[in-house]
Amino acid sequence: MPFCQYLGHGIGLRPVHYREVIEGRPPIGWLEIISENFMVAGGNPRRVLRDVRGNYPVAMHGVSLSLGSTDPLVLAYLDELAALADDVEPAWISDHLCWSSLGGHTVHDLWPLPYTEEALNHVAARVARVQDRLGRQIQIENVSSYLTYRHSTLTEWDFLAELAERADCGILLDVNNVYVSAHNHGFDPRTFVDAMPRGRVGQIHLAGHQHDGALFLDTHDHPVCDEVWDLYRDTVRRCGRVSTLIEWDDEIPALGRLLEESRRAMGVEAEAIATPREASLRAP
Amino acid sequence: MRPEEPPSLRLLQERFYAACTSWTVDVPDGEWLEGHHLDGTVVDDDRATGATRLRVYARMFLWRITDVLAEGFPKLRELLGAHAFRALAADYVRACPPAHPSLRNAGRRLPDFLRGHAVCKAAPWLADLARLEWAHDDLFDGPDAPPLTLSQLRARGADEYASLALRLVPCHRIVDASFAVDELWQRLEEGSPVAAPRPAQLTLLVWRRELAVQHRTVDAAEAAALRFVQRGATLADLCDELSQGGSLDDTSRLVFALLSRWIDEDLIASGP
Repeated sequence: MPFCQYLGHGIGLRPVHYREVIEGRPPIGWLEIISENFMVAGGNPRRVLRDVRGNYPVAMHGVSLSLGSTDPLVLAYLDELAALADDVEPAWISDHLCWSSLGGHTVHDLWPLPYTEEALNHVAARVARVQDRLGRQIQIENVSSYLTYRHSTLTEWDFLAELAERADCGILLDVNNVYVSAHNHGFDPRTFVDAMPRGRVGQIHLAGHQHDGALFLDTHDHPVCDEVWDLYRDTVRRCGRVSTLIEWDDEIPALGRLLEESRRAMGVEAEAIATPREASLRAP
Repeated sequence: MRPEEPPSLRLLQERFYAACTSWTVDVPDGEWLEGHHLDGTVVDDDRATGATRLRVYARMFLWRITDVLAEGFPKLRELLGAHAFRALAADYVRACPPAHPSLRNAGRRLPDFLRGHAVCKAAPWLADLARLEWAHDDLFDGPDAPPLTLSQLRARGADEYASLALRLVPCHRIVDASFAVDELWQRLEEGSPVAAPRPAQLTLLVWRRELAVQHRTVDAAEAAALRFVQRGATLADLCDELSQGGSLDDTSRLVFALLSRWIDEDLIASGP
């Protein structure tokens, strides 16, 4: 499946690194762009994008499809997304399992869905429509969440796995989000990872988070923590090699530090592939 | 008592949206959740109450928009200070909730909103400053257009000059102001102490030249010429427009001066 092609390890393309990436062409497997930041008419963003696209595979990651919203899909936005995809020919297009708009207004955040049959049908139908318009499969990412609903009848992992089957889409598994949500809601993050259908996970995200009182917040402003590295190792053992991105969107470090984090992900991946899960369980 | 039916997805989203976009620090948790019929919907547990959990979203909604506005209006933020800017952003987002999928448009209505806001009663020039900042922000990633060069102009035959279509590059704005915000802008750029700008009827031309957005003041004659050209005009049209009441020599000098400057500043687009 095209959403499962392996491109190795990537980083997010952020303005603070534009010059170094363009001039230095560091060895990076691929670059991720936030789609909305490049859905513009011209200027520096489009110039940078043209340049990097000539040298790297690019993945488009969006935040505004609002796949779970009960508002109609915003067709003008979808057209712009399709136009950008035509220009970029990205390796993947992804967005989130959430809702972020209502009544014609946008909240610019990733709000949680109830995991019900109604929501599943709703989101699956919308993913299918988006894929029809884009002419390609997309990847859906699990979000960090801070609340759940009493009337949910499915777990998040069952919901996501079933959505991928029904809509025939890929999964972008954010391992940090699994860890954050597991802490916030008291489930075992390995249960989530184990429920992911192997052939559907086409991309992995790793990021840092913060502690805010009793809750963990997905802030993308820290290095990946040890527990998330451990969970990533288990994820690779479960899913095999999957293209992996280090997300760092706030308090962004120097490019060298970011690449160091990416190299660490390569190391953990190699270690996980070399040591299957059964062997790791037998180790003292 | 019969338990309440779970809300439909639509109803849940309406309640969630209303709760998060109306939240303020002084509303009691219980009252907040009950007021939006979410007390029986959101799970609370030993780790955190439902209100604590929902509040994460309410706070993030405000913070994210505030951060984006602060990036787009750095001078306004500097003049107001962080606290007053946050309060303004909160008022703005409630009055003008974002309606565009991209955050880049979040500040589009702030200058007009600011004009009617309490902070502008004491400092009415802030609305002019915000309008200028928004023009800069908006043009940053606006459409590209190659500018007409002097050599391209010279390559045309003299008989083609009259029919030359004058088209301003799309990345420009003409901004009217009632205060000398250009001077205020300059002092803020330099890090110099600032005072309230003097009242002055100004017209500012803001445009992007290659990748850099810049502005300058224009006098009344140039402002009128720019607005005329904005509507679509040939060089002959512009000459006719500017000749009214003046001698042929004066008109020629004025048109030559304007055209030279506009070409020199990459303001005229090449091509059809």
